[in-house]
Amino acid sequence: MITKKALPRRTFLKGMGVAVGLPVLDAMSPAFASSKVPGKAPVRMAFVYVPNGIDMRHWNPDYEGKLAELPRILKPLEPFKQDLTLLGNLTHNNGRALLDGPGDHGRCCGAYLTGIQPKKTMFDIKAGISCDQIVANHIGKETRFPSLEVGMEDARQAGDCDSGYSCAYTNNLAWRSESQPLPPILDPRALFERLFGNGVALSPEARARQGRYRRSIIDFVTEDTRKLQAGLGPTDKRKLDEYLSSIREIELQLQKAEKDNAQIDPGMEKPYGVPADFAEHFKLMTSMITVAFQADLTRVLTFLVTREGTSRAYRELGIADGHHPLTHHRNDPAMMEKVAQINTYHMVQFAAWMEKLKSIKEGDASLLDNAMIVYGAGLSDGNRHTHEDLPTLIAGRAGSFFKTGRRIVYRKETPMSNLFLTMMDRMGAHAEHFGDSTGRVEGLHLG
Amino acid sequence: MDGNLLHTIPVETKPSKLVYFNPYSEAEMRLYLPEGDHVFRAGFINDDFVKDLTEKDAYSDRKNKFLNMITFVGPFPAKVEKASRKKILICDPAAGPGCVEKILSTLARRAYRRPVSRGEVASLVRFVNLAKSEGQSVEQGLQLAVQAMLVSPHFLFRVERDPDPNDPSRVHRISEIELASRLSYFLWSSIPDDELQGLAEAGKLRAPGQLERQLKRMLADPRSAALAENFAGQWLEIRNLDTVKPDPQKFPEWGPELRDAMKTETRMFFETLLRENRPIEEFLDASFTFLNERLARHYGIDGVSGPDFRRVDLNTSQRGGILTHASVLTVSSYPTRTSPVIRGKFVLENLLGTPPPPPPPDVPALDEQAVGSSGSLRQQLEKHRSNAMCASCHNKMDALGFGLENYNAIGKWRDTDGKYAVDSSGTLPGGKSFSTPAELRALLKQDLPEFARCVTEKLLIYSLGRGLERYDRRTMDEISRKLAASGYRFQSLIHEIVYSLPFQSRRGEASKSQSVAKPKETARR
Repeated sequence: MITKKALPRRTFLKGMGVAVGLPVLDAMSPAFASSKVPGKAPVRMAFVYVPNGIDMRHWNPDYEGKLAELPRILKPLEPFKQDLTLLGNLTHNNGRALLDGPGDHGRCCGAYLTGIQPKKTMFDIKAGISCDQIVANHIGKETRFPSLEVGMEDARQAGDCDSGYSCAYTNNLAWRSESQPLPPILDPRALFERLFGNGVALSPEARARQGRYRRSIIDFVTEDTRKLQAGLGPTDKRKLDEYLSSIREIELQLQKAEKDNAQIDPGMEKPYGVPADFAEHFKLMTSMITVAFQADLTRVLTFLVTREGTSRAYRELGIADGHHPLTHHRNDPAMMEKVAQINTYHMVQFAAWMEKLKSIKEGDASLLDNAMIVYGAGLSDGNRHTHEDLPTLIAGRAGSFFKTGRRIVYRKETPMSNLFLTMMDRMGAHAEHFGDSTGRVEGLHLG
Repeated sequence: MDGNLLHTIPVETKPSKLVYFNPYSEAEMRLYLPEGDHVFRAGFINDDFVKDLTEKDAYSDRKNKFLNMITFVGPFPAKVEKASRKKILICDPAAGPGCVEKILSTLARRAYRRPVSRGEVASLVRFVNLAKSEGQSVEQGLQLAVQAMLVSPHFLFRVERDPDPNDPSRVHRISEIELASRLSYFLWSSIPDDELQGLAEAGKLRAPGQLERQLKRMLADPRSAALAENFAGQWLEIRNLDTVKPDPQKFPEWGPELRDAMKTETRMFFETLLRENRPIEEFLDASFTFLNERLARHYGIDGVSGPDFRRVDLNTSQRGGILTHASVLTVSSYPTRTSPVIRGKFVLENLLGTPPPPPPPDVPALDEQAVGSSGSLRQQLEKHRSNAMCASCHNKMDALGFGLENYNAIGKWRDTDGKYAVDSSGTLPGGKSFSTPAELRALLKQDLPEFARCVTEKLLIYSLGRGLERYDRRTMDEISRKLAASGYRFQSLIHEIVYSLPFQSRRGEASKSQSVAKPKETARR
């Protein structure tokens, strides 16, 4: 038996039965050159989605216009009030039943970024290309990763997740095509490896060689796939098409890496895995996203905090009941209180991330100023499964573009798709329509 | 490791029983581990000291020494050649291009699960030449070629060819090579082994008696454990044990050890029914199960000691069959309490194949949370069912769930729920009634044909990797009939599926009309 002193103390976690501890990570020291973005900083677009609706009593202020006293759930955002736009009455009509029967959780999440009513099925899933992916298609070539999909909840279930709706609808936000959802990365370690490589520093020569090797593999796979496609039926052809398009994405990343061979130093150790603690997990994921934004590795993000319809129990808050059963509170005050606590807890984590983004300077502005981050849910009242007046806020000015610090209440039943179409404009992905859009939303811009 | 004791470190207490441990002492051991996944456990054995401590003191670093965490560091450079490396380098690549070709064609044949062409081998050899031109070794080139193979669509997809890919009216028998892959992925969740692939390549897999022999061999092979892991894991929702979070206040005994024991019981039970070709009726009720000390304690069964699992004959009516497995009872509960509704739904959906229709829109979920304050859960549910709209489905669902109310939310037996005595009697629609879980199981056994059909459907979906369609009905009927004739033996079910028309054949697929097939990217100009 040898007593070893070298093991880092800080890897110790509280409590028993934890096999792998996690270092207490803090600041992301921006070790890489911030000159990566000369001149005007790019605009970043992100969607942060929370499930099971939100207790709207504690979300909607009783006034419009300039933000004053914030309701309980929004309170953690108090320091960033001037960076917020709170939007009322945005609706996803395609989240509603529209003769398709029950399954509001499956439908609202599938419709959220696609604006399309998802097909009620467990097998041949179909929604629509999501607005983040439309933007990624337009501007993705500028960055190493056209988009980033991140989540926090292990979602390996397959099959029926809500009354006949495939789990693909509740476990994903981004849709590459109408049949191809992009699963979020859940493990901080996997996210680290995707963004920054395996953490081993290589010489420029070795990196260049690695690039040539990868290219040769991509050529090989592309040729194999093309040859294989001949003589297949339509479904198999489509599967291989999807495979080809994911290969092509890697190819594009390689091309970009060839031009810009610099290795990003994330300023943190490679995480060990998924932390048991929710806040820790959230912090790790957003720390890495922040670096990815800062280093302009990507400009488009979707973040599915937990999967729609989740029954996660928030032990962190001393709440033993699952989130979803709690939202069916039937106006029981004790249950409603717990839901409000969960909603607020999510916001506390989000606020910590906002603080981080605001602290990062980009010229005269902050990273937050140059972002537009939608925080919202696919349901408003989780008890009654309502699809109107969805809780929606935007953090950031989208690069001196939004007039913030206000609450705007639109006409009832204004399609959420109108907001997304407006945001697509801002990102340079102009389109006539998106989902069930009827136009653009007014009043967001300065002047 | 994997149930074997690797190493012990003595920890002494002072005679005064006063301990002055450094709470942060760290012990290190070097382990030489075989490749693969392993389960590690660490703990105090023969720990007499702790039995005099209160639970609080047991985890106080002033009163006791306890295990805080284990960190694995490594792997360190191996001193012996890895077995996997030896398997790849079947000859000395330095000997020349002949050996490189041999290595790559052998690997590609395994990875693609079919014979490979000279052209395919040549395109892999190019990677070795590329590495050499970069000034790297032949072995590094082989590594690159293996990487390429593993992302090739021939490895990642199971390729099955149709003579007329766009004509759904022409059904054809799949090739023996395709059949070999279907078999191995169904039973082993992996690639065919040499014997299976060799037979298929030689065109002998469908020779008289051969398929039967292969089935027997494959089921007896340890690799068929994958069927328990993957099929049973999904069918009985055992996989969800990894994500459920029973309330630690109400269920302090919940933890990884108990959770893993629950998984193991169900996995071994499933494997035994499969390997011993037992009647599938035993899923519903059986006179044996698999326990280790931890789980036996949970069940209140004496005489089982140690961490190893063993077959235990049950002489209690409290346990028997999967509905009494703590795994199933836990995944069909809420974190804080049982849910007769979820359990009833579980039985209808996974055992009887008659899933209840989803609740009508705008009916809020049952207020199970208020239970305890104003009467037992059962009373609350009864009230709910006085609503005619709810009653139509809940009558059956809830009754089945009531029959399991003697098991708490982590599957432990109980006679009372809080201050209320458990009433596990019920009447199923149709008038059959029961008063204990054992009687409920006896009733369910009367529905054996329905249960068999349900398992058949799920297993057929699993084996084909697709949902069933209207035209599969005839296959279902046929399998059901033959299965009944066999006395509902588990291997007969596997046999009938493997010999069934959808498993043995495929057909083309009609091209959808342009307007449907075209992605609706409305937002793109």
